[in-house]
Amino acid sequence: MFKRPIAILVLLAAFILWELACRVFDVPSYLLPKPSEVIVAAINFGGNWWSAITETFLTVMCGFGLALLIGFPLAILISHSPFAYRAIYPFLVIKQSTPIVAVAPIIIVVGGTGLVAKSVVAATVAIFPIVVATATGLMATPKEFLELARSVHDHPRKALLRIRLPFAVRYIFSGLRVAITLAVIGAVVAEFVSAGRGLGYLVYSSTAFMNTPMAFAALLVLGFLGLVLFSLVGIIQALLFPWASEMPAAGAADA
Amino acid sequence: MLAAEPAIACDGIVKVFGSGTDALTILRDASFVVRHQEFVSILGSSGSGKSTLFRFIAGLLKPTSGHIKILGREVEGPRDDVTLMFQNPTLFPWMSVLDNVLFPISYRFGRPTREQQAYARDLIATVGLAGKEKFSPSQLSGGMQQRVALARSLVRHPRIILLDEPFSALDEMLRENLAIDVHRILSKAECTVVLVTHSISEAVLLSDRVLILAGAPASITDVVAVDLPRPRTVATLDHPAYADACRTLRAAMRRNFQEAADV
Ligand SMILES: Nc1ncnc2c1ncn2[C@@H]1O[C@H](COP(=O)(O)OP(=O)(O)OP(=O)(O)O)[C@@H](O)[C@H]1O
Ligand SMILES: [Mg+2]
Repeated sequence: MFKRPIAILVLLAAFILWELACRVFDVPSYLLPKPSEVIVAAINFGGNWWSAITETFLTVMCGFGLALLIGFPLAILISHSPFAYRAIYPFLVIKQSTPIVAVAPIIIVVGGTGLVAKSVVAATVAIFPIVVATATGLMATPKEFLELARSVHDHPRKALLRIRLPFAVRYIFSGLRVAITLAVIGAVVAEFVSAGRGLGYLVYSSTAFMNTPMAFAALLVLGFLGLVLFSLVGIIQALLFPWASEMPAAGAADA
Repeated sequence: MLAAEPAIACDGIVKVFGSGTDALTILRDASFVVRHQEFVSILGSSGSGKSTLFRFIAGLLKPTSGHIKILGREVEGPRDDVTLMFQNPTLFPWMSVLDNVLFPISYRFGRPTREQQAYARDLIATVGLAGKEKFSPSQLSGGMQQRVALARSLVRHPRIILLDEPFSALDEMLRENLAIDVHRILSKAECTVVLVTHSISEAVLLSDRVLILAGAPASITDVVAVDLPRPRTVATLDHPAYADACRTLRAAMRRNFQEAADV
């Protein structure tokens, strides 16, 4: 994202256009604030940003971690047995098509407004892409890879760790990229509901007090946080698994 | 091991894929024997069941009926002294060329010894890829990948080696040269070799006998002995018996093709 100056130029142009439009049509700032007002609001908020950002970041990371902790074993189970697949998959789909906005209040009521409950909300949305991507990757392992391993040593657990999982890395990371952005959404929803701290709560409370410039500022910071986390996942993939990005070319099994 | 026992004995192999109305019989009563240190080629049209047959011999798949014995023992699963080189290179993209070649050792026993590593490097050089040990498979052409797979299938000193169209992605010249190299290496290693190929000339150049797998469902319809001296070299190509064997095989292939068309 940051490697593409064109995206930054587009963003700048949009801001300038927005500023001009607000000035020309004289839009009241509680409806649509000018970018300059948003910046002023952001600067005035000063040191409070730090606690808001860390709060949301913590919820996102804990939720994401929880989703990984539950998602990986679940994906392995699903890819392992057709029975588990049929037993678990429908529930995942039902879970995914139930709006998190409807589920979050229940979780917060049951679990309280602490980090744990909020992380659970974030994990609830993030888990689906992790499970689906991981299970898909594990199941997509070329038959010949597994046959080759089996002809050397018939050891299913070894094959999972040394053949299936490495093969699935590319799939897993595409799932993780989606999951991390969903975790941000989940965290924000949890903060909306739990009315505590964090960037989500900042958006919510600023809107309630008609402080629209502040709401916009929080929104932009939130978007930036999402972008950074998303890019981070890509960077980790490139650092730890450089071969995974060039895998299609080496998909030797269907050469 | 009893030298009197054939290296491979396939007896009445039948394979049916699927069941009920979807059942598809691929092989019908395929029987043949491969003797100790013999080089046998299997010629057969695409889809006749050659790769499937190899999976039986390698212990990766069970035939619907029939018996396969290796060195006198019924095949029950993969054996250490039998390696199958797959039709596709099947290289792991997360490993270097060297690590791919060493995979049969490292996957089973952990870190390879110095001697094993040195041997793997020798094999890589033999297949013409010296200096490419640290390359990733994605940096290699299809033919180079096949050669890495070939080196890998030799790393554990197999007694029986099954080569499923190992040279199909190579150009004619390289193919001939590499085939002769492989023949020399495998003869020296006293390997028993079964090679699947679509090329009549390649089969004749390398083999002691050529089997034709034909029909639908397929079985071994012809066995052609190739009476050419070992070692096989480029000079073999000019031997009168070479042309004779090619002619005989081509005629047999034509006859099978014709019979298939007549049905
Ligand atoms: N797992 C399977 N399930 C169902 N049918 C299969 C399976 N594996 C192979 N077949 C069928 O068996 C037949 C023979 O396949 P096989 O791969 O052995 O052919 P082949 O002789 O190696 O062909 P080629 O020369 O193209 O490699 C094909 O018709 C294929 O569709
Ligand atoms: Mg085949």
